[in-house]
Amino acid sequence: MVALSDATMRAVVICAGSLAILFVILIFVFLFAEATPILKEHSLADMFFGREWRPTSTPERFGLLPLVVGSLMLTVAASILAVPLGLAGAIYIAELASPRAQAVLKPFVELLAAVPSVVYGFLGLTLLAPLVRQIFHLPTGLTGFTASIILAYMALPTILSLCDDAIRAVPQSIRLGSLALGTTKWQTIRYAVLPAARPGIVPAVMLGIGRVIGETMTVLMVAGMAGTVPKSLFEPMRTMTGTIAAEMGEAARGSTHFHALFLVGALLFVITFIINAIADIAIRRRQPR
Amino acid sequence: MQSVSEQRENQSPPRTTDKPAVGSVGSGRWVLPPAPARMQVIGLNLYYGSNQVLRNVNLDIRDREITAIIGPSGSGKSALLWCLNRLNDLVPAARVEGKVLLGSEDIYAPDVEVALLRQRVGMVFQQPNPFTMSVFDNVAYGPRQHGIKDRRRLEEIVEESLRKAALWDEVKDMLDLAGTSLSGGQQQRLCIARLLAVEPEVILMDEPVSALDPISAYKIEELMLQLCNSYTIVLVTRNMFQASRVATTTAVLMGGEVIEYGPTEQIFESPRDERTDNYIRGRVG
Amino acid sequence: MTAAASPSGTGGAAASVREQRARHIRRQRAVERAAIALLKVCMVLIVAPVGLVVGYCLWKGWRALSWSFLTRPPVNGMREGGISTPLIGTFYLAIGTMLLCLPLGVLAGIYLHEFARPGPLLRLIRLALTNLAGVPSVVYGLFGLAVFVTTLKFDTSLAAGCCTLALLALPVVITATEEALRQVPQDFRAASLALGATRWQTVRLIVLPNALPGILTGAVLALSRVAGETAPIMFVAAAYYLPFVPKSVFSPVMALPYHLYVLATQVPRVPAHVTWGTALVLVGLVLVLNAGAIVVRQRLLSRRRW
Repeated sequence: MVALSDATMRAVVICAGSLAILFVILIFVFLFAEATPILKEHSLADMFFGREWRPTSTPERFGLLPLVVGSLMLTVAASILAVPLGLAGAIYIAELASPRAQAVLKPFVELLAAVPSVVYGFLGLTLLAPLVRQIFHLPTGLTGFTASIILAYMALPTILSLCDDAIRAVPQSIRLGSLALGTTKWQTIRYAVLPAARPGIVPAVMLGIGRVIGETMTVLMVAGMAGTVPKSLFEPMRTMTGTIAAEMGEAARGSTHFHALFLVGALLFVITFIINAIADIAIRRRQPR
Repeated sequence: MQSVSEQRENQSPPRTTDKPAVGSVGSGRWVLPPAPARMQVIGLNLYYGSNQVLRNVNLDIRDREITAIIGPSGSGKSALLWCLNRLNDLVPAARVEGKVLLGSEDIYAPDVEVALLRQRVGMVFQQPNPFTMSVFDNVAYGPRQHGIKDRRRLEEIVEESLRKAALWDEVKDMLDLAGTSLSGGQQQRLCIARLLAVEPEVILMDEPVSALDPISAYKIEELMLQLCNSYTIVLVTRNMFQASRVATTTAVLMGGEVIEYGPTEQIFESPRDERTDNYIRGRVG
Repeated sequence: MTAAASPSGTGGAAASVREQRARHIRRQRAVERAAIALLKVCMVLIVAPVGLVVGYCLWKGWRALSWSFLTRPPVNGMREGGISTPLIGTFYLAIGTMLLCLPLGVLAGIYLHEFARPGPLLRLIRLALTNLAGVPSVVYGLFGLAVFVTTLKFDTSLAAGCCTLALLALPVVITATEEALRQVPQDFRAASLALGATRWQTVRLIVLPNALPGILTGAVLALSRVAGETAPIMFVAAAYYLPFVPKSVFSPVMALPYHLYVLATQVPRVPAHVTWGTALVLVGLVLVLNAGAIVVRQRLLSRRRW
């Protein structure tokens, strides 16, 4: 194996490593290249403040507000459910569960994270949506509320698992120190352990939220995909991801609609980029300690 | 630094009565006067699972003095210390037989509130373990958790505790800094201040200086001698010279048994047990 | 309040402090009980729905499961028959994807852990990696459409799907490789280098063999992720319905997750057991892969003695 000299292989692995950068740049370039043509026909301001998304009507309308508001509402609603629940589950598993219960619960949660999103969407569609329709007496069960519950359960494993890691990483001496001052176990968890784990909990929550924003199939199948800006969580709504998935198949290549969908994709790319960068900085900041 | 012998002189001269009072220890020229016992360990057995760690330990902790527990590693020193504020409850398979009296109450009685016990019997650990919060919040942690909300009152307590722990002058301008950013010795004194803020009666010290440099260690020893004027201190240490410098009474633990207990000077100068003699001369452990 | 300074004092002040603390701790114990009860409720809220759903899924889908369901293609507008073509399609997609991204990902992981030195390039790569890992999968689909389908003229095909999914799986493989390399003790490298081996020889002969099980575990996890993805292949590779298995890498394929989506939303009057059976097979496939990887990882961790 002298043929593959050290220098050659070094060059090869550097190239492989640098590919990640190349791919990010390529994604960026292609998304924006396919998105910009729409600006010839619709101004950015018109689209960002447009309240209707009707790509097939005449005249076609590409208001992004329904998509952005929908994504926002779903993300907030899902986070309100998933973050406290995930944190509570992590506290329970890390601090209260018996070793045997831990050994079952942690892998169980990790398996949950692996279930394909189309399956979650299917379950939401067939089990949860009829339930929501009946309970709240709605014309349809395919609402933002339904989708946000499913989304919350999809983000739960990420949040729970990473929070659990963060809580476990808190040294035992912190717990002993607090208990030795005569506090209860709960006081110790709440006022000594959680503050110490916070640097790890913040990125966990960010990554969970990132997963909600990027989730496509569930929203596509469960959220109802309305074309207007939703007024309440109990209405059908659409998101950026769901819109792309639903309409890219029908949009003729090179049409305005096609470019509009790429614009939505570019917007998504930028949003997730920012969220990930923040989470990344938060993670890196805790490492030196 | 007030030496041990000076302290001795401040106390009433040794009485040799035919009826030795509770707490009178030693023999010959090393007899210590009777003193109220703050804690008493009576017939204590400790098991970790099927492994017996402490065997029939009997020990008096004299009020407002330093009692040292020495012995080779693995002799059960720390385990004994952890029994005194029931931190051993946290070890899953630990089981305790016997009594530990605080004043006249058995701390292992079924109706004892462990948290209240630990407020009265606090602990300083081998590794300084400040919380990941500011110096102020570290010291205010105990009082806050025990119901004090008034900011003024907290500030008073923090200053007083830091002064008692001989740390105030070093940190008074950086109370907002993270407790973990202090030096090792300062961190340990911060942990002592954090404990003093809870106003304990007994302070258990589990090799409090073994992780520190000599100068920091010296400061903490000095601090112990000051604190024992108002607090009862139990010191676990591997460093025999430290025990001889600060402790009034010393117990020697070996294989989970107290093989010798008496005035520190007697232990070091005229041990009655051969094993103590060997240990002190460095032939064991 | 300086009761501690006179601990033996039984003065009124000390007694009242003790009483106050006793009252406070009783309150705190009540808070503690409530908090723990609440945490338990949360845990039930997390676990119970999942348990119910899994049970329901098994109950509904079990009837459909049979050898012929797995080996026959869907017929009669996908309302009858089996799922052989989507199953095989997913298999092709997964294998093709791994063939593309495994070598690249492992090499990149080797670079990051064995060769890279801290500096702007490394930081940039790390930033790119976190970003790639966080990009929504549907955006990968857009990228695949723009690059592989349109620009490179693969058309909607197995090849375009594999390339797109390979990009998506790349961060997973790289991270897993790095993690596996990190498990190999530094001493091994030092010993090899001290014997005069070059860096690459050390990596190839010493480090990689020891890291291989870990890398494979990561690869299986990536595989299961790829097998379950729908959004990125919807307009890049997947066919709504095909009566046969693709003959070339440039023809479209059916894929199991997309097939489930189609059955659930696009085809009217599909018998429930067909849809549930499809869902059950998909979940089973992914979970078996994952559970296998988790078990293997635990084994490796417990067996390792160095």
